[in-house]
Amino acid sequence: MLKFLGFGLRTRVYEKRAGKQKRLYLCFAVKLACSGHKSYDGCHMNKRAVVLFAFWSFLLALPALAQAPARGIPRAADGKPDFNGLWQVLGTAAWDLEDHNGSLRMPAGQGVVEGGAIPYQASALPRKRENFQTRDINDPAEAACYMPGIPRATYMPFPFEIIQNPKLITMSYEFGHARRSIFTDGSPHPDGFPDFWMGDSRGRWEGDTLVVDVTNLDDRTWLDHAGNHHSDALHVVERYTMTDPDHILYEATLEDSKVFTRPWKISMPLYRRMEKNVRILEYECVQYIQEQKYGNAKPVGAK
Amino acid sequence: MRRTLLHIAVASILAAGVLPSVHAQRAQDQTPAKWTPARTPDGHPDMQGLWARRGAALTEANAPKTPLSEFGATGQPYPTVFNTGVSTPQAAAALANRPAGVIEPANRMLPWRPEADAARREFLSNMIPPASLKYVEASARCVPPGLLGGDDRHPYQIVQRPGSFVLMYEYNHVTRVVYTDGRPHVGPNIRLYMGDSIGKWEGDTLVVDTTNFNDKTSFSQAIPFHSDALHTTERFTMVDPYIIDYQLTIEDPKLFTAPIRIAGAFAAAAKGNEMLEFACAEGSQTLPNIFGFGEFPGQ
Amino acid sequence: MRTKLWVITATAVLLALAVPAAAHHSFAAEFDGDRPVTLKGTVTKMDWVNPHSWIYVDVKDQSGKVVNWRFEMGPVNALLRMGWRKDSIPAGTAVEIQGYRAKSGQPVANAKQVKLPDGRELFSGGSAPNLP
Repeated sequence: MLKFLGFGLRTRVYEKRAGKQKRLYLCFAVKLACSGHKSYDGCHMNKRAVVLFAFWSFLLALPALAQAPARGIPRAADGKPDFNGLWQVLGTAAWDLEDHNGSLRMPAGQGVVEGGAIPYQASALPRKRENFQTRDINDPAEAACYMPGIPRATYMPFPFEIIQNPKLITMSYEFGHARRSIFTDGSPHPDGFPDFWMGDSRGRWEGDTLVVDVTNLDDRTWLDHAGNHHSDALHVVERYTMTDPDHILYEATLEDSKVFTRPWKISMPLYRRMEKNVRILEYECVQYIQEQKYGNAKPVGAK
Repeated sequence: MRRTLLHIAVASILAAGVLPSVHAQRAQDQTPAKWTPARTPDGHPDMQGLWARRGAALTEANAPKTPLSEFGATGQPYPTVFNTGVSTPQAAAALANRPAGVIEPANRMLPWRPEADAARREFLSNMIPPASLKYVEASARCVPPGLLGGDDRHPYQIVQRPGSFVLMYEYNHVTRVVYTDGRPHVGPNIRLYMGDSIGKWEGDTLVVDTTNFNDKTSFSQAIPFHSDALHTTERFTMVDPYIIDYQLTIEDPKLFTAPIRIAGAFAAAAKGNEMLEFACAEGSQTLPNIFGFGEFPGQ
Repeated sequence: MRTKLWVITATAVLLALAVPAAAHHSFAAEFDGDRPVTLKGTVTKMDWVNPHSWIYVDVKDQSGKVVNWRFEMGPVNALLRMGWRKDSIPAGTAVEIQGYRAKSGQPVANAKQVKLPDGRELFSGGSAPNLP
């Protein structure tokens, strides 16, 4: 006798026909697998009822089983999810991808790295430590306003705009007006190109997920303000999946055979900026830093 | 009876859909064929793609000599050793006879306010050698170029989507999003290097109104600044597959007594060309060279 | 790139006539037009960057001492569009460079012309290497 498992929505349907008595009991409680047996509340099941129950349960469960695409997301003219708009990360990944405690003007954060720690090779750890200790003068994004690279540009504490058409997706980042083009026209990474601060991005769709392959990333970018770093062998694969009209799940897998022992992954939600008439403004830190550095300086040889 | 009425109703609806196009076809047959652009899903001319901008410059008659545009005792202009060559032979041919630069005033004697003209001459005299940071040429400081300071040896990318027309400059990776969704300009205290642009379509011409400029960008080598009263109007009209006609009207009442009109064009890039990254501050050694310190990291 | 690079080069030559008024940055603030220089040496490295690429060259002076000069050129995007690639100019390549010395007096110059042994020139239209 099966235990009664609790949540029960039981319906009993009787059908009487002239001359015959047909009783159909459809019982939605889980315990009713006992075909033909008397369950302890007196409900009878016959084989037909069990089959029907199983069939309808399966059908209703299908969407969950098949991980069907989110319903109601905006779609572009070509049927693809429409990512156009302004997006921003909450949380403090820009400061430290791993778990970190609070400090003055900086909240604590749970890390975004799957598995907890970034899998550095032992030989890479001294550089991580040195970066951390000198971060206020050596972090290229914070100390010099250099473009943050990928994936860091995604989680800087500034909005970015996705500008999308079928052949080209552009991400325009408010931080230092950084920008990158994601070519979705099927073209490959060009051969023999130098590295770029924002890399070379080629995108394709896997169902409703935008998959972006990023190479040619300049090795001078850091992955966060804590000094997590990479080499010129860095290869990033990003996945953008709209989970509902106002959220995108952002996942990025990083591999770098010179620095890490294996590929590793980060993930976080992107939140749509919902304000009316919101737009990207300007954060021109190159100009702010220049003013600080050279505002009162005299050129060499000036009188 | 009901069925008959139903038939009449359906027939009327269909006719209402078909007749206008029949009418248009008749009208079209009567006028000579004119090139019309392909259209975006929301019905506007499709100007998307990679373009080379030409002519968009504040060409000035009798511009004051500035050592920026010459060097040394030779007095020769600095040799321009490259151009990015993204354009096509057809575009080059189409550009050949088009007006370029200032067209109003026709004689290119810009309508300066005397005090503004004096101020810019004074400013120019402090630029070589630069007396201080602000006298270093804006492009050497990687200042976002505004509408005219861009280096047009680098191409532009146009992307259109419902509600906005996006003009991306390869130079210094600035992006102008021109909102066509009916929104107003941002508030008057928000000041932007690239201004705030709202646009509307007048037929097949996109008219862009830009305000909220700061006063930190440069117009040209001879006009190294403007005021924050600057207000511009641009008109983009695609005239054939190779050319977008570009008209720019500048009004800066603190500098000039009248608007100035500039004619230019965007010429189609050859297929296969892509927007590339143009990082500026990251690779620039100009300020450390001029000031003798400040290389990153470390100094 | 899928594009035929010779096409790009050819159009670069054609478009030389339509070059816009350039916003060059402060050549005159950094370099001295009255101090031209012509140097021969071997390449030690190249920085393929914007806004200016740099080429580093070991130059032997009259006394035989080797000094590493660096020369400022145009942006890497122009080089790429003309068909040059990262491995086009390996270390050890002999070059002859004409340019203008930096006002700072350092072994730095702005390159007007960079010539390779086979006669090809960097940044000049029509001189891209034959690429597949």
